[in-house]
Amino acid sequence: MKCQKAESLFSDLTEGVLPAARAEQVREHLESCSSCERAFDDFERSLSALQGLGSVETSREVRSLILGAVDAAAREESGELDEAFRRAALRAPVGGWARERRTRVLSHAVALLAGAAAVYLLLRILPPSIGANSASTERLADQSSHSTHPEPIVPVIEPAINTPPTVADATPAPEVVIREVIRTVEKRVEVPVMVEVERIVRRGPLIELDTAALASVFTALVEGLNDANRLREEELLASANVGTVDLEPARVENSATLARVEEDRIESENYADRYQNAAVAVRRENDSVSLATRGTLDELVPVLVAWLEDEDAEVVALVERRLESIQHRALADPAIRSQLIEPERPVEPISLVSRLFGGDDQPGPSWKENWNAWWKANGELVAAAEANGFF
Amino acid sequence: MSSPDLHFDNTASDEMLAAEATAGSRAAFELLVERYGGSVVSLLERRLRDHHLALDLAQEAWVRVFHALSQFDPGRSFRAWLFSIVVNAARDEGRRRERSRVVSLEEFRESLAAKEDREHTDERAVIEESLDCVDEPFRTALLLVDIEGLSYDEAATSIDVAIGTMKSRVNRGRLAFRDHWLRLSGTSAKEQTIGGHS
Repeated sequence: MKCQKAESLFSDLTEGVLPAARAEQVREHLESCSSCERAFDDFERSLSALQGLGSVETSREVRSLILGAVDAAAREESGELDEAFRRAALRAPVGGWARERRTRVLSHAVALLAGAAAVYLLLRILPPSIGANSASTERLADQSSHSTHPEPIVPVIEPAINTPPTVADATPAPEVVIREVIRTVEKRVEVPVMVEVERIVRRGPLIELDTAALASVFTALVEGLNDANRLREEELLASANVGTVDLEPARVENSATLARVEEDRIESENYADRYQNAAVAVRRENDSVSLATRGTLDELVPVLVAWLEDEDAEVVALVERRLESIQHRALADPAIRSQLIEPERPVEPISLVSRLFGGDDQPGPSWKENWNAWWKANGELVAAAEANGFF
Repeated sequence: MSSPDLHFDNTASDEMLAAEATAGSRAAFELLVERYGGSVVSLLERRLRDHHLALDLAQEAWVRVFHALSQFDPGRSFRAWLFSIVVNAARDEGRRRERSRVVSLEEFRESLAAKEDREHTDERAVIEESLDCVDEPFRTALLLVDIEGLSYDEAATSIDVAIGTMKSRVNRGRLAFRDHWLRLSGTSAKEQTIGGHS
């Protein structure tokens, strides 16, 4: 056997896949050729070194980046579908992830059609005054003496839920409890940021119809609007210039606000002017919890963190999900990412997200603890919140 | 971000997770990212020699995976399928860069000089550098088989070549790696491996 041939079989010999007779021939050559013997020894040593590199484990940063990109793609996909649904007057986004959700939304759409027909017939049958009684959240907010922000930030859901039970059959109408709490942070104020709390609790009767269609419509609307709001807000948060925001009031420069998008959504020309404060509104109606936010990240995050202390576990879960999405999207933001993966860059001004997630790939407290620790460090602000009965 | 659901056993096969992800499970997809996210970045970085570009391309590759999940055949190897997407992404980027990048002779000489001047005191750095010196397509063969641990069959499927071709590339790549490794370690490979060959 020639040296060149022996060398071409080094891998097979190392891996033990050569037929016994062939392997014997190669070994005989190695024994008779000191050069090849040394070459094979070097081959085995270098191969061991090479394979010792091993595959690289997935760091938290890489994981976040990849999942952030994939989620953004999924949302992009859902956005197209959302547009299609919007054209069909049902603003229910369809995510790229859960096919079962698509099925659910489709079934909701069917229920919507059935329910819309029922509502239409209902309104045609009922006296006009009944339709006028369906007070909107806006009106409730206007009537509230506690409200310093007369306009609500949550999308108003106005199915015939407040309609008096005159249509009704003989069974007593069940109660629906609407709990709507808005926490706001004043924009462009001196440090510490002050928290104002508004609480609006609404109790009202829920009409029980013979048909289940209306209930399905309501569910579809609530879920669809929740998803639509969340996705739109996440999109905006992703596009917000949060990487260079400093908490010093003189350096608050970012201007991307949720209000801007909300403005488009509700087709209000002066929405941004009227809504100067960041706010988080949570609305619970029986089993349904919705959450809407407005404001820049540096304004929103403290308010969201305050919500983590809420007694309602489902509200907390929803808030956690929102914070997760902020973290997720923030880490996917190239500007923030560059700060995280280039620690040698100047640390001033320290961005909000850097404060929260600095050294993200290092083991440490969970993100939730980070949020809380950061927030609670603002003692005066906590005191303000406590004065309002929270925490 | 929430952790992957616990109901996915870590021993679940890649193919099973891919099937679950295809059915809409984000948790299953997260687990796949957990398993191979680092490998994908590492392979791209070694191919492209650019960490930031590798991170960007890795995200693009996983988005491609996400969009193509419905086309994945669970009867095949997920790793082979995944790395075929990754290698293609690297290849596309390499071609794009070749078309757009013009390197002056002076710049090229400077880069060579800088490379020669680099110290190789760290053993791992020597290995990485040696691997870096292996030409394509042999380097990719080593990355898939010896670093990522793909079988010859999976690696061959990933880059769409015959299994015999893959085995040949791996052996030639290993021989080239050995020579660079010996040279960069301070030992002349030629003295040891070529002299005396009949």
